[in-house]
Amino acid sequence: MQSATAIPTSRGSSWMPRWNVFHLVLPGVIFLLLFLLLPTLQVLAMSVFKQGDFTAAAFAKMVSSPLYLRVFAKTFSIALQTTIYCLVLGYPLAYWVSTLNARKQRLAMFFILLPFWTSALIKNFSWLIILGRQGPVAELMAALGIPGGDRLLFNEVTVVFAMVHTMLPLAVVTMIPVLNQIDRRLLPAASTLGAGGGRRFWEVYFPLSMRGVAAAGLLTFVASLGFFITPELVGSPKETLVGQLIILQINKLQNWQLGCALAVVLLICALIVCFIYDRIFGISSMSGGGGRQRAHDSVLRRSGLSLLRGLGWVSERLALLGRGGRGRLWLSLYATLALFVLMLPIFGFVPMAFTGGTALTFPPQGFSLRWFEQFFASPLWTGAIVRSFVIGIVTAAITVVIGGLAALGMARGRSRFSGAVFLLLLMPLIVPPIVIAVSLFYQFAHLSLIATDLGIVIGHTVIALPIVFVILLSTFKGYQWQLDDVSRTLGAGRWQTLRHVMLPLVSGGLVAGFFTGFLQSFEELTVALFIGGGLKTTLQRQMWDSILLQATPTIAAASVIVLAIVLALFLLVELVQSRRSRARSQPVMAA
Amino acid sequence: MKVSRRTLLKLAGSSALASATLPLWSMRSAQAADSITVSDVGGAIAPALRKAFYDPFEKETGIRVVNVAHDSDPVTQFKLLVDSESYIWDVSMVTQDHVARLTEDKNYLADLQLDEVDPSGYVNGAVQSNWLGFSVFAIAMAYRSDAFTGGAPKSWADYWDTQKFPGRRGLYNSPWGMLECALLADGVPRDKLYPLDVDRAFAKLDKIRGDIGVWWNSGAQNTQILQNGEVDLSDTWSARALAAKDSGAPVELVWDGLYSMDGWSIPAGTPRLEQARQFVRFCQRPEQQAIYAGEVANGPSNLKAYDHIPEDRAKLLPSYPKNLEGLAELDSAYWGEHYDELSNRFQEWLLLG
Repeated sequence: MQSATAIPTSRGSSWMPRWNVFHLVLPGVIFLLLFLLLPTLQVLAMSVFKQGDFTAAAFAKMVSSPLYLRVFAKTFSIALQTTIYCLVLGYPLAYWVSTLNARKQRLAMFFILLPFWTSALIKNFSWLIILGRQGPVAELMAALGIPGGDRLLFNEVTVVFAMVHTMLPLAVVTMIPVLNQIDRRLLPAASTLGAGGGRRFWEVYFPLSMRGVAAAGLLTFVASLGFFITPELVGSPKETLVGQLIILQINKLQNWQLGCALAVVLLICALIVCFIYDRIFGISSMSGGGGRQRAHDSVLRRSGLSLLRGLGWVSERLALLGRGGRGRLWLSLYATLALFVLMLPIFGFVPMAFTGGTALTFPPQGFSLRWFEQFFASPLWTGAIVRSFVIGIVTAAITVVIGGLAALGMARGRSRFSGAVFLLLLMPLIVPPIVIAVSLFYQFAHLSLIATDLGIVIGHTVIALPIVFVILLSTFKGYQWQLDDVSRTLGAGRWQTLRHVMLPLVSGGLVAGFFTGFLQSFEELTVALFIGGGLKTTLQRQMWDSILLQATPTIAAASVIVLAIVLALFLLVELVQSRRSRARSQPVMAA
Repeated sequence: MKVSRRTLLKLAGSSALASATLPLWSMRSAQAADSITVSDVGGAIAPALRKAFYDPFEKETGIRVVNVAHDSDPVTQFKLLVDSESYIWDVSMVTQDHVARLTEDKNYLADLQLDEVDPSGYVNGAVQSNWLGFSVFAIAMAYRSDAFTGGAPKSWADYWDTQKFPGRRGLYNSPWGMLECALLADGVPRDKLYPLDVDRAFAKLDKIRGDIGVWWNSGAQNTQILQNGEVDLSDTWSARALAAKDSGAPVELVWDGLYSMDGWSIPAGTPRLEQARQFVRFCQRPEQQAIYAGEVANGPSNLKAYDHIPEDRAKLLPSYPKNLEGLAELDSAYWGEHYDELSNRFQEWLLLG
């Protein structure tokens, strides 16, 4: 709230006298204040008010039972493990992607993101089958004489694995833009100055990439705090996480007060993590530079540097990153393996959609298209897919506009509120989707927006905004702003510059943002579940209903159809991009 | 908590109602003629209901049946439509738990006038003045016959006997219907289950905790773990184990446990009361219930329906007389009162023990 009301006052003190580009963040800020912060605060107030009186009973209950402390500790531990694995496993993958040319990069990104866009329900169902006691992995292990194949599911390792699997794409995608921005000429320069391969990487390249690593770590950790589907399906009760307790209290026991109180604590934890991040790296280092000076001479920085020096020395001894082609080979091998594992659940459910049997089994029994016939014969399924499409397109359009403006404002503008605004724009990632859905439900009830397509669109925009914003932010940051000056020097006005210079150059990012916004909406379940009210059924909601009621292969067929749609969209984007880049490169060549 | 919860539910209900009236406008013309709206649970059950009840009823009476899906807990919507006298439903598919909540402060249900129906030919508890149970399900035990070749478990006591029946076990991650199984295993007679001896049930659960491989959370997951052999032995909701069996997995049921029902109620005050009653009466017919039991693996409440069901199908249904012998009626009123408290206790037991 404060930032919104305070921004106009910053205008006077701004270094830019006429018009501060930073004000472009306002539509996004206002949108989130209205549809995220306000409803969240309303519902959070429910955690401390009972019949109008203030009470801390729910919090007292949380402190009095060791149950909650243990669940919070487990949630933190699992989120931390997930983050560490995502960074350690994701970094080489992101590095590998960043070494590819633009076209191959998009292809690689597609394969990394495909599992990310696959419904969490379907992925976890796939794990249950692939890693099952009599599943293909267990059989393979038994054939190889490796024990333990029948105990792969329902333990902490599997939960962490499935969560890493879910979050890795996000971590990688967050790191790639930063890695792409590192000037590769620095490496030969370092060599000239006598650094070997190891030192070159650890002391030159790696520190420059830290910004991306830290951002990926923050996003992964905070998103991991709110997980519930994965631990519920592939974990045992020992891996119960806070998200599950919130759902239990709100959905099953209708104890809103305790459910909201748990959400408050989760939210506070997430905010503390963000605060610590801000102290070390500076939130603004993600948003617009300038935060870097802070860490200049701290103990942390010095010890970090000596650690990196040590790593450089070690890896040089190991010759891992030596000049020979071997490091490169290992890296490609690793990336292929990582992509394979990322795609594994997809390899799992695609054949199951074509099963001749009635159950989701792997390998499937026989071949048939009956489940696809069922899908298209059912008005429930076809109606849901049409609705998902319309809602997805509208959501994407709104998200790109307000997210794009915010990213532009953030990339170019200066304000002492940039940290707070950045945090607000990322807040939908920090607030667990279940809390967002419940808060919006409460708010929309007043506005008669329950069970309306508009209600779902607003909810989906809240959910999609941060990722679209981050994509567009990196786009605008990657944009060479000197071009604007060049354009203006050549006599173009602000608007002309925007239309003829900037938009064509950032169109790739805008298309990616639109695509992402669409998919976020297309694959979103929780908001659709609450706001749809049983009358406006999206595809995900329909899948969820069928999974609860009867997990037939129609769900796998639906997932294959979704996959085909995502694939088609990707090809479309790819086509547009390649045509555009051809069109762009021609005049350059002519010149 | 109570107030905020109520407020929220009220809001939820009013908005759901507001939205539910929208599609109604378009069908008001149909409504004016002979037509009733039935709200059911939707999903995979809806086509079976249409085939067994809605279509034949339309054909016989000329009264059209429009069906809509309601929330999994329709009580709030139900109360609101009666309170606001906007009868968007004339008949609703509800459980006994819902009925209890719809009659506690104020009566929201119309009298069904089922006087001509003789309850003795029905599953116990199916015929009430304001509710007609038509779909019987069981909470029972299921096992993989390929895991117990030397002799199959036959009761909950066998489930607890890990020496005689080794194997990985699954158990429902909720106390609902599950504490009863523990008590049955401990030798509590079927007719003395309620009120539950909760301490005894948890003490019994302490003994099996270490042998539970999977705590399942949803019906679909129950089918899954039985179907792919993730567990050898589990508690189950009968239709769930049968779904695994139908898919070809070697799954067998042990009819030791509980039964409960889904049924029809009419919102008090609906202007189409007569048509609604006519529909409910139609649904107690054995022929119709037999069609329904042929579509979904829930049993008919009218036992005469078994005259119309082939023997090999009948044997799989919970209300088949021989199966019903091993089942006690789940006490919905008890659970309505104690669910919250027992859920919390169960969570603590499971996570801290």
